[in-house]
Amino acid sequence: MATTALVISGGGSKGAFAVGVLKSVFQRRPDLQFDIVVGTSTGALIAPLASAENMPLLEQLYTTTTNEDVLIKGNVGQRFLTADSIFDGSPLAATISRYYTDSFYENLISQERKVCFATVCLQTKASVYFCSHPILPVTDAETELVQNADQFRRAVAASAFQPIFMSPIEVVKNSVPLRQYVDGGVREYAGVQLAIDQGAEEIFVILHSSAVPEVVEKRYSKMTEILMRTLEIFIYDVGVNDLTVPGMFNNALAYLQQVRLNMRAAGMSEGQIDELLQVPGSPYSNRRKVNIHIIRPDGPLGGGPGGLVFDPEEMKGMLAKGNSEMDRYIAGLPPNSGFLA
Amino acid sequence: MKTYLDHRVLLPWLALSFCFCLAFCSVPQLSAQDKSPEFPKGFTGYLYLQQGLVSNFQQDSPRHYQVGLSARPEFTLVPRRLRLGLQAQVLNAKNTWQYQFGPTASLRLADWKAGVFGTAANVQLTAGHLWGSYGQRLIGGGLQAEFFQAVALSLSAYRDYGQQQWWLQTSIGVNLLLKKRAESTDPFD
Repeated sequence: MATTALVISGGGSKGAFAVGVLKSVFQRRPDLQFDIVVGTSTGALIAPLASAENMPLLEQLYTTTTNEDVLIKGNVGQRFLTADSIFDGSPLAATISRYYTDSFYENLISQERKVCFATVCLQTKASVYFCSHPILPVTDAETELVQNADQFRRAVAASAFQPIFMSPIEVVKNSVPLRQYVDGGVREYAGVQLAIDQGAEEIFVILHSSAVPEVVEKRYSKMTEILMRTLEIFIYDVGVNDLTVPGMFNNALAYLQQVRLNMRAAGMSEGQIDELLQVPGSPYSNRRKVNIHIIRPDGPLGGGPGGLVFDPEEMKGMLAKGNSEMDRYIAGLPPNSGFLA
Repeated sequence: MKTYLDHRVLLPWLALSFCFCLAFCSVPQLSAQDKSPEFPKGFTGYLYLQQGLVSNFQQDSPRHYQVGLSARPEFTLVPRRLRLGLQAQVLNAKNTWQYQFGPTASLRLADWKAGVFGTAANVQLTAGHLWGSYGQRLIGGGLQAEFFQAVALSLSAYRDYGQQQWWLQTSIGVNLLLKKRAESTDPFD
């Protein structure tokens, strides 16, 4: 059972913030090892290298990558008439192939650490997690074991390729029935539930959106602007929902624990308490409260709509913000906090 | 008849001219860019429906209506900048069916950007030399706006330097060589 999980959300170029956070984490705790790493979208691009603790390469990629390294822009109308996405994502696919080689994959699966990528299947609408190792069932999601290096690279790309903007990916090429996958952020911004279902007790979540929604004081009059703003609202809402359910779960567990203490104080025996609280089918049976560490920026990070603007200078700023945000988070931890302290 | 022809030909010509001027002067996104997706490698093949007038614009000289079809295949010689090709047109002018044929060139001047998504259109300078079936020798060019790399609106002015006539035209074209929708666009292939 996993005990420590790292969950990295989506956000395109804003992933530089996550790299800054991780840089701070590994500087403070070089011995820290996550049992499971879950990535969505840009988080899926980061997850394997974070799992391999290759921070220099991550930092290089997230401070030098430009739009041309990720996608090819075209004529919007021509793409609409002839293609399945606004952008051509082949540069990003080439980058994935360059760094996530066959030997990288062999090394990844030789370790016990599990790495999972969140995707959504266009045919079935299901949330599908592609994982390097077998994992336990996940609530409201399917899991698929990656079988080889090619599927591994395709799963990373599937998680990273935002639908409409980039092409859907067949993780298993020419599979029957056909299955095309897109960015898991369509349904789940961060794979917190997967970490909980794997029994993680300490979950370290890096989000790329601020807790307070960004207020933009302007009139939206262009269709493209309204479309992008709607996407931002949608992504924000998915992010809120992702954290609301685990939060409610934690609150319910805390409530049950308090009830148990009250019953004990009222003179009931452990046997009586168990008999009353252990209802068949209870989702809270044999569950412990999960410690969720949420690291997120305190304001907008930039990076354009959907994080589709890769500006190295701006990304360096995001990385620095991630670094300082993590330092601030650690400074605010109680002295007896084992994790990260 | 002359007034009728003037309105039918000159008004669209002036309207298109106005649109081109407006596009050049008032749209801030309209700018040449180094990594433009416009003028990609390969061929274009526009089929135009065109109309215009033929005249030497001397006082009391006749102004003849012309209407016809024009095919213009071009190859991108310098990606993002220059296309060269041929033009063949069949038209009715002076109540006579005739054809014209010759080389053409298109020089990309600017793009109309579509925010962070790419471009929506480009504006190009066109030029050509045509030989006609009635001994015409036309040289000239014009401006063309190409939308979605699929549809073009153009206006052109050619001078028949042999017969001292002006040929003014407005055209709407469709790119018959627009690539077909791919069933699969696998970025790993």
